[in-house]
Amino acid sequence: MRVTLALTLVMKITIAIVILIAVGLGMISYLGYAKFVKVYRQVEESRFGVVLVELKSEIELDMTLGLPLAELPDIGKVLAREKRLAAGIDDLKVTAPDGTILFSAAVSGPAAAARVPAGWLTGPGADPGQPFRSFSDGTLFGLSAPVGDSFGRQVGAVVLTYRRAASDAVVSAVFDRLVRLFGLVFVGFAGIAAVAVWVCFRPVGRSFARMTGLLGGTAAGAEATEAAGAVRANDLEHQVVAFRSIAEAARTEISRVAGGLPAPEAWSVPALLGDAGLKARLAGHGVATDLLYADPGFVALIEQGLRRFAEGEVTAGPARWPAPETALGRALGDPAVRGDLLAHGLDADDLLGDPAFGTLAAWVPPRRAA
Amino acid sequence: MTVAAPNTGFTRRINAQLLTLTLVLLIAASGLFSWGAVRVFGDALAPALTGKSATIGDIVARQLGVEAGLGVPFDQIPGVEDFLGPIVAAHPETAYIAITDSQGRILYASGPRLKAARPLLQALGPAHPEAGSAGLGVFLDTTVPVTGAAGEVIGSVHFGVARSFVQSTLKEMVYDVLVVLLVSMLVTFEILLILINISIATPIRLVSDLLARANRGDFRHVIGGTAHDEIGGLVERINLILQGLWRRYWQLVARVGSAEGRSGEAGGALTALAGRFRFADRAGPQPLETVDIACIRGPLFLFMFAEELSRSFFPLYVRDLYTPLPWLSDKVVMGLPIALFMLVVTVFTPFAGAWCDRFGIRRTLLLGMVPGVVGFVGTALAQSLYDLLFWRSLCAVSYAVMFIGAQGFLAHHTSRQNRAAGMATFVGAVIAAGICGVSIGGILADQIGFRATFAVSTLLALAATVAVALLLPAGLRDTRQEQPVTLRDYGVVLRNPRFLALLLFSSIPTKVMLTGYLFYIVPIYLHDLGETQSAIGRIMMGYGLTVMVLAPWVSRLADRSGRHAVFAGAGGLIAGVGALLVFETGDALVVLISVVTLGLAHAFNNSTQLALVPEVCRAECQRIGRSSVFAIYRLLERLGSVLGPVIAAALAERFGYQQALGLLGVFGLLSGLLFCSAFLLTRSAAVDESGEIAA
Repeated sequence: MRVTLALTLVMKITIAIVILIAVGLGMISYLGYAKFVKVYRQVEESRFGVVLVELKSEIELDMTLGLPLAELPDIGKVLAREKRLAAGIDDLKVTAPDGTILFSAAVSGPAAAARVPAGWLTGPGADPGQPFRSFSDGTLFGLSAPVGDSFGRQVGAVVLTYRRAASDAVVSAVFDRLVRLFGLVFVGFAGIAAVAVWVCFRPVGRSFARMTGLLGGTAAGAEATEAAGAVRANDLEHQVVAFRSIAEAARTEISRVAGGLPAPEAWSVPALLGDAGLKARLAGHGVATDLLYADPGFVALIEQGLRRFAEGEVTAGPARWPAPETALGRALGDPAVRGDLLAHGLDADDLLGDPAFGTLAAWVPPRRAA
Repeated sequence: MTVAAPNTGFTRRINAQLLTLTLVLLIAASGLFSWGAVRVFGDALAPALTGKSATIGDIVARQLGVEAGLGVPFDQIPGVEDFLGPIVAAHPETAYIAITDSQGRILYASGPRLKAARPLLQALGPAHPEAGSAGLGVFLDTTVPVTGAAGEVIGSVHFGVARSFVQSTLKEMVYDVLVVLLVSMLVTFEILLILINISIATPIRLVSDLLARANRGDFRHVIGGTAHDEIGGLVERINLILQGLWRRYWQLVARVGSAEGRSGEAGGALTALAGRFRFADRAGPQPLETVDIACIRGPLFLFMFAEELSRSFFPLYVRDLYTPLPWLSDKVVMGLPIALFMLVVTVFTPFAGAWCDRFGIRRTLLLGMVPGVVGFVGTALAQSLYDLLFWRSLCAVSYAVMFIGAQGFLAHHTSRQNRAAGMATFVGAVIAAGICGVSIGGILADQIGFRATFAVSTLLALAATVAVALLLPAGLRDTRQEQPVTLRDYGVVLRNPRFLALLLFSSIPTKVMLTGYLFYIVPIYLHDLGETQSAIGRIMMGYGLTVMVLAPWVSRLADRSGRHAVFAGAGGLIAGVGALLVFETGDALVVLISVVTLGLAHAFNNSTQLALVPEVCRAECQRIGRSSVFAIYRLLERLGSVLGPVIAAALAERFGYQQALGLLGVFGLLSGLLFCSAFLLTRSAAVDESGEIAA
């Protein structure tokens, strides 16, 4: 079943504006949120960077005494102390240039043979504005910086790793607040939009209703509309008023000419069947005209429809053919067939609109049956 | 029957009301939301900043505690301010670092805002044993206690961050929000134009046109496909009346025919009736259809939006993919994809026109978008410069098809009455897409990276294809047989010295400045200055905004004065002067001024150059046709777009980016001067030749 959604002009406009507000707010919230997350992560990284740079400075200061990096005393204590400087630090490590872990805050003493992934110390991630590079494996985030000796040679690296549990909670809270804000603003402005559209565009809808009323079926209705004094509020209404006049003039003129003619003859199916052109065209659409016309039931229905039409009982209206794909339905949709019928004074739409005629669709035999 | 009648006053009023209401609501909603969002962001960011301050404070406090533990009196530790100086320098958010004793007296301090902070710090009183953060006037003050050897509090470290720093951290965010707001408005405008046209303006225009015909006695048409709203109700009623008249008329014809034949009295009356009113033939009233010129705006906007998304970072993307070539420098290579893109557009433009003429615009556009979609996917995934060149060439084919298809559509479906409105539709969509694309592209590149931004372009190009399928009516009869432009036609036009002067000293330099200056050097130069992608996009957006605001105004002024050559010459000079500014001071603000000046210059140039073509080629237009002259002009003008990146890259290679910007200014200025000389000094000759003032 086909469902037709009838929306008034005010409803259509309201829906369009509400969708546009949603899209606009959506764009702002998405891009604003993404920007915030980026800035927040930078601040977070910068805070851990302070710890990393402090550790690097301390180690480089210690190395000025001449001890190799791997033999610096009390590094474990230093790492543990630096780790306490900022909440969220997962580990602090001191490595050799090849990534071999020399010291780690997570384990006491050197963690022999263990290495940090090469990508933590080299590769992309260097920020020209920062003395460290950043890396991530998806769950663990970190920073690293090279450690140099007094002669400027790189002798190792310091690595700080951290988890984002705490900052994720902050970011998530910001997201929740944004969603609430979005909901409040959206619902509020959707309501304002509905009221504003109703106030601004109801007169437009009314204007169309007035114009439709002016062209309406009953003269009394049209006069009442006109008497309301609201007509001709815009140029379209002017046109509608003029159209009513000219259509009325044409109708009167047709009636005047028709008035001078003798009364119409009684229409009959045999007269219709006498038109060879019509018969051929119907056949061209697969309508077995001989069979149809020979059927007394069909003839009776046609005659009934024609009589009613000729007597002016049938009113024009949209075609309600129940199965437009049937042969006769198709044939009656053919402008040439319609023209032929019209030449006989018959309007195909009126025939189709006649309930008696419309039931034919169920049993119109196709051409192959002939 | 196809019509494209202008809007009625009633429609214009509804359009204006709807646009105003929507934009007011959108601005208010977005403004309120943005204000709230920035507060939410600020609330979350402030603790993160004070957390960093606390970490720095801890380090300083620990260092001082160690010194004090060694027996050095707390108020006599040597070199503290030297120690604080580098810390202040390393952390740009620092307003001050102050160390106070247990009574709150300031012992050591450093920082750019110390003078303002000192009285506030002195008023704080004795040191507090707990670390914490609090507002202190215009500062966020983080206090960390300094403890002595026995664990007693001997003083405090105060680390101050100006509240305005939090705001300035959010500044970039606020700018982005403002850009998004502007883009939302432009996108809303585009969507509304489509919605208004489909559901309101076009039906009303059809009703108005039908009634105008009927009121002249022409009852041959009805309106097909009505909507289920108030307009649809009116349309149904009008259709019913017209069909009723048609039926009555043909019943009358049948009765007259069977009664006495046409030669009798009734036949005469019928003939008089048919003379006064025009009824449809036996087939019935035919649906009156309209081709809404605004329906091309959606696809055009979407495709140009897709193309413009990468405008602010494309040379940087090329730089990322750069692999050394033995015979070309990196700077020239970076300009190569832009030049090739423009070359392919130039080469395919005549083909695109021929395809539209042969296969129809809708079909050509539908097929023509395919290389673009594939090209954007390929560009996003490109692994080498060669890949990139190939994929961008595919995008260029679609660009040419869309450009020519849209222009052809407007040319086919506009009359003399609404041709200007049609061209405004074209220019408006392209400029709006330029503003939206370059700004949002910058923001997206910042957030999701270059490749993902190209993926967004792919989606937009797909949306443009869908829009072509949905908005352009199928079965449009817009194929035609056009005489192709021949080489001989080129010879005819190029023998005109004033045409050559227009081309060489105004049109081509305009395109060189656009692609060489704006598209190629500005993004790279701004990036090298340390600007973010968002900021680059915002600065480049200044060009489109200036053109959008000023071009209609300048165009009207030029038309009114009739001195198009003066305006075109002024445009060249303004562009040159604007670019020269960068010679001296090359900071971002100057680049912005220069970009806006370029927009101003092109507002002077764009419409006036086109107006000058038929003026200076009057004889050629008569000989080979106006459209052929324009086709030749358009094609040759595009050579400037091809040459722009190459010239700019060569200058940058030799002199560096800043000097190249300035030298392009010199080029613009010289071209402008030559153009003015050629046109203004030969003015009297033109008067003599044509009897009219051409300049």
